[in-house]
Amino acid sequence: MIELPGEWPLADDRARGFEPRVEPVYTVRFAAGELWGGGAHWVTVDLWQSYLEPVTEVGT
Amino acid sequence: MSGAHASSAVAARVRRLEERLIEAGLVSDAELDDIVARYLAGASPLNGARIVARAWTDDGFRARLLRDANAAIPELGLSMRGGLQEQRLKVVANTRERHNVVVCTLCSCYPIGLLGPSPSWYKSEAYRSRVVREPRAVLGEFGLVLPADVEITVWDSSAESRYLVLPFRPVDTAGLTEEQLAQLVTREGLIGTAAV
Repeated sequence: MIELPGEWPLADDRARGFEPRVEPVYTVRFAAGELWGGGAHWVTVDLWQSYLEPVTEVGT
Repeated sequence: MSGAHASSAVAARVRRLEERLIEAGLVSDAELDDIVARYLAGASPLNGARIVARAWTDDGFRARLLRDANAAIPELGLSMRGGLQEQRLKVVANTRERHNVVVCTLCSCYPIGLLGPSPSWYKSEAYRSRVVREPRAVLGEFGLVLPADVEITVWDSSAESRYLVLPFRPVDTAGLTEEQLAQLVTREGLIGTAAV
């Protein structure tokens, strides 16, 4: 996680016509090897909080 | 490119949707034209080029730009408020060790106000899917061959945020004015598919 750019409306809700939930958004940087199993570059993505899982849960 | 777009299936669908909205009395043709015209008014890669030239010549501006681009670009009379809502702008700087390139993997998010309408390849599935997997190969196809030790970061845009690349200032440009420097900067340089 490299940055917390803000708290933004969740596009998934907005697209379905709901009053959007507003969530913290994190800019997360992934090593290409972790995403694709190869490559030496980085990919950064803005991820809303509900897209993320606590690391401890992933590890169990 | 706009010709190809106008004949596409998506353009036909958009046109049909517009007709339905107009028939239903929800919006008029003139109102739609006005929204599009306002959105595109002044939208040009020259805006992005001016930002870069200022950052190359003013270290204070460069620092403010990289810290909070939305707060910095009004110094040049620019803003990210052209659309329905203000979009967050993040400027990412190329260095000798790191090169940045921008994509919208989901659709075609792009800082239109600072770069003008996006090139058709930016919206293509090929670019969107490949640049995140093999950026070095994709950049090579654009004619940008980076030294092997330059690390590449790909920035994926989202509904709320836009990215702009601050290219590395070319060597032998010490004598140029800010205006002359702006003329060196290309749209592709601001996306990251060219060096400058």
